[in-house]
Amino acid sequence: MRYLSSKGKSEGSSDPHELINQPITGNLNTDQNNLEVILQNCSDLVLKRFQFGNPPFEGLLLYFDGLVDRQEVEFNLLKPLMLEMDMLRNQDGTLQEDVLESVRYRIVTMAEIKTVTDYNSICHHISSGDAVFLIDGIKEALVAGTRSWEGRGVERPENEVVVYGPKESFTETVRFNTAMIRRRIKSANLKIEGYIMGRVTKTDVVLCYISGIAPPNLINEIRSRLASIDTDAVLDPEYLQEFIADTQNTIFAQVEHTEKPDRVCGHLLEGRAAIIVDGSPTAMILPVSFPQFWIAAEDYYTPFIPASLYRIGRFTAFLLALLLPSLYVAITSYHQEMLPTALYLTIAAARQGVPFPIFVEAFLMEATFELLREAGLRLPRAVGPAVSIVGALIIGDAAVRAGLVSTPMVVIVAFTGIASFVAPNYNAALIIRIARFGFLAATAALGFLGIMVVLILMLVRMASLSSLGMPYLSPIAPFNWTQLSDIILRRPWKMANQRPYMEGMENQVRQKSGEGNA
Amino acid sequence: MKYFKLALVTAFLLGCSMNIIGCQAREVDQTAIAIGTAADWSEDSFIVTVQLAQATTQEQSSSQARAQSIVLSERGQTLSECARRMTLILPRLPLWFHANTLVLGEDLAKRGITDVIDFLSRNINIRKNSMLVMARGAPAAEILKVETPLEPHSAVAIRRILETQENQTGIYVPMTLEDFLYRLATPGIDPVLPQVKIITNKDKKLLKVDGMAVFRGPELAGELNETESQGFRFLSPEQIRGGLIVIPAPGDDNRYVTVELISSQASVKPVLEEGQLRIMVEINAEGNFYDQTSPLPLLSLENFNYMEELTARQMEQQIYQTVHKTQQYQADIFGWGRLVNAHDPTIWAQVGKDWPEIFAQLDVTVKVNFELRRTYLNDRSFLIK
Repeated sequence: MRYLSSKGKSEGSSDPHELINQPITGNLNTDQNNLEVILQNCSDLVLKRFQFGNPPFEGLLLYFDGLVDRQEVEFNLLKPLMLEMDMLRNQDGTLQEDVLESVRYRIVTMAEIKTVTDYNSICHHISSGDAVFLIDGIKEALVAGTRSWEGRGVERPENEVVVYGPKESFTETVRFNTAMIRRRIKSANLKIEGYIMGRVTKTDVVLCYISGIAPPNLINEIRSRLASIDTDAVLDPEYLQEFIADTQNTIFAQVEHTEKPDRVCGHLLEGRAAIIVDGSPTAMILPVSFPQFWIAAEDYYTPFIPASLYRIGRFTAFLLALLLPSLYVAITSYHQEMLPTALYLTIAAARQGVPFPIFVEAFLMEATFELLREAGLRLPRAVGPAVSIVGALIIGDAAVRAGLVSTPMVVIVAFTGIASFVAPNYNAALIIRIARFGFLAATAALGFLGIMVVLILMLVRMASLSSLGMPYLSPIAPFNWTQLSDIILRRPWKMANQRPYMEGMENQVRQKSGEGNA
Repeated sequence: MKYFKLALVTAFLLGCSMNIIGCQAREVDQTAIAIGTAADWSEDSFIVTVQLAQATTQEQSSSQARAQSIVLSERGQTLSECARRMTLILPRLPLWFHANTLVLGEDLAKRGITDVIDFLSRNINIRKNSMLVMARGAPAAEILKVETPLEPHSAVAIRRILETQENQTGIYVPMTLEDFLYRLATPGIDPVLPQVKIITNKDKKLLKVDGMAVFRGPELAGELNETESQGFRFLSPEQIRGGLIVIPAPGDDNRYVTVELISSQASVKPVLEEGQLRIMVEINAEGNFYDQTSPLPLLSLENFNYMEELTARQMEQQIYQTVHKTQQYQADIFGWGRLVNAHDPTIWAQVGKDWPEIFAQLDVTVKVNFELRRTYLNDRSFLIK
């Protein structure tokens, strides 16, 4: 029988908020009433009263529909209880003294089973997908691990696309995610510490690191920062990031987000830690430094020479995406002497009749491009192509024909757009997108001087940041040549004998150099 | 609060710097691009002529067959005044820094270029790597008005001609404004400029680089013809590459052989012998056998040596001719005085004052070592059966 616990008020009950903290009374009727009060208006709650054993015991099973594996509840919990009643008796036929023990150890054929003693725990467990089983006269409840809900399967990463290398991405279920990491690092040193965060959401949060590689002080720092968080909801790692990060008032990303388990493993093996939140397919890696954002996971799956060249290209693209529109504005409206005469004439010809100053033109075009990109992200898939057609036709062609923008500006904006897509990390792309407008504004006012001023301010700001104590610009500042060589180029594995240095790291040697690797 | 203060200070400093940077945004469509400038002197005032490039789009330029350039002149008491007075007839701000060809008028040069040098060296809008030429036989303004073949702007054409001929025929040494100013300002070296003339070919005016104008200090002293200009080029202190030398073919004085100069390096040494200053020039050059008009089989060992000898003699002769000409003008365009100064300042202290006269009397010995290298895989002419 199912009861829809929509009784509304229950007789003799008090406030559900007080009730929830009380222990199980042992009287099944009272307990049932109390739980119905606590869980009132929860239409997905399943409460089943039944009898088992001989003489019959009263039992109460409760779980949330949709969160449990119904098969498992029926075949491994209810069926043994109701059929294997003999197991409650000793060999001589007398009833066993501790019914709970018998049920737990002899009857229920499930591996994950434990006991709880208060309503609060019961509620937490059924919310997490466990089935809870109460027996009349016993002040404890059995919790059976029956979690199983419809989740998304493991799919290809949508944002971090690779040509070579693993093509799995995280799902919304934290257990699947930790399993994907554990499958790659088969070591007892891979620690996955569980936390429950969020006063209302009670979200599972795990902190992954490899003990012996990750610096202990770093892990302690993360633990203490996590412990200091007092919030009611955690729906995504970003909720935690804002509490954990050293500095809040900055456009520079303080953590790295990734949806690829192999990338997480790579970071763990370099001594960093990852935080995964149940319900979000994004892992958060910390600490980070800025140059790290320009390293694609794929670099490590391609031979080191092409990978190094791509990396150099990517850094160039980063500078272009950041500075190209401002450089164009600065040169064409302040420093015309820098252009070859023929190029200047071409630009001058293309700009004939354009009503706006170059800066306004650049600003408009960049803003339009950002709008288009944002629209393309949010639009339903069916409407997406329509937007790109409108964008390409109207912005690319009609605006030029109408004389609102000049062709060179369209080229510049398009090139900048392409260059900014080169960023392997979405956070990094965000930084560029925001900073670009700052550069543009400064250029409009001061030309090249403006570019330099903003560039210096940006560098100063970046140098002053830190991510969990790690300097944000490392290994550029503080300078470390051995590490830098693995940032600008991709060092071949044979030569990468040391892990990137972090403060407090005890075990920096990755492999012994010498005969073995000669 | 801390950040607010910081932002305030930054904004203030940025605001201050707005005033000091001094350059303002110049919109592309409110400017006109000068690609060539000419300076003349007539009727007691300067005339500055500017050639403006008209920016045309793809469609326009194909329909009108050629991009147009506009030539405008203004008169004034100083060159800057002339240049600024352009804004009285031009609705756009002329940008001067793309004008990298400067044409000096003959009358201006005859008057002495002291007047314009200050303008040329001081003005920030003039590129120091601008090509400097002198107009001969016509006002500089006319030079800019000539329509040149293929290249729509005559100022650009002059520059291209000078650059191209250097490797191909190897007669003239292009002079940049920087070189020119250096030659003017340094004691013991005198300026020299390529000359541009207007020639008429089938009723069509064309520009031709013809001869070099020789200056004694700021004064125009005379000119060098083609042969002498090439001799001047042989004496460049830098290694020169490219150029042609035509010598009589061995065994037939009416037929000729072209020798292509691959490289040539002159080393000049001032020598003091018995109180007499002498200049020793040694040139190591090498070249290729380029073509022959004689049907004889020329490429024997003796002929080879003979042709090397002949080329060397011809170069020597050209150089002597140049040296004698400049000695007549008393213009040390080779920089030998500067060389003497660098070699031994005590000698220069004695001769520096009367250098033009001493230069005119200098005893010069030229020795050319020429080597023929390649014959482009043909050993005989086709005419031989």
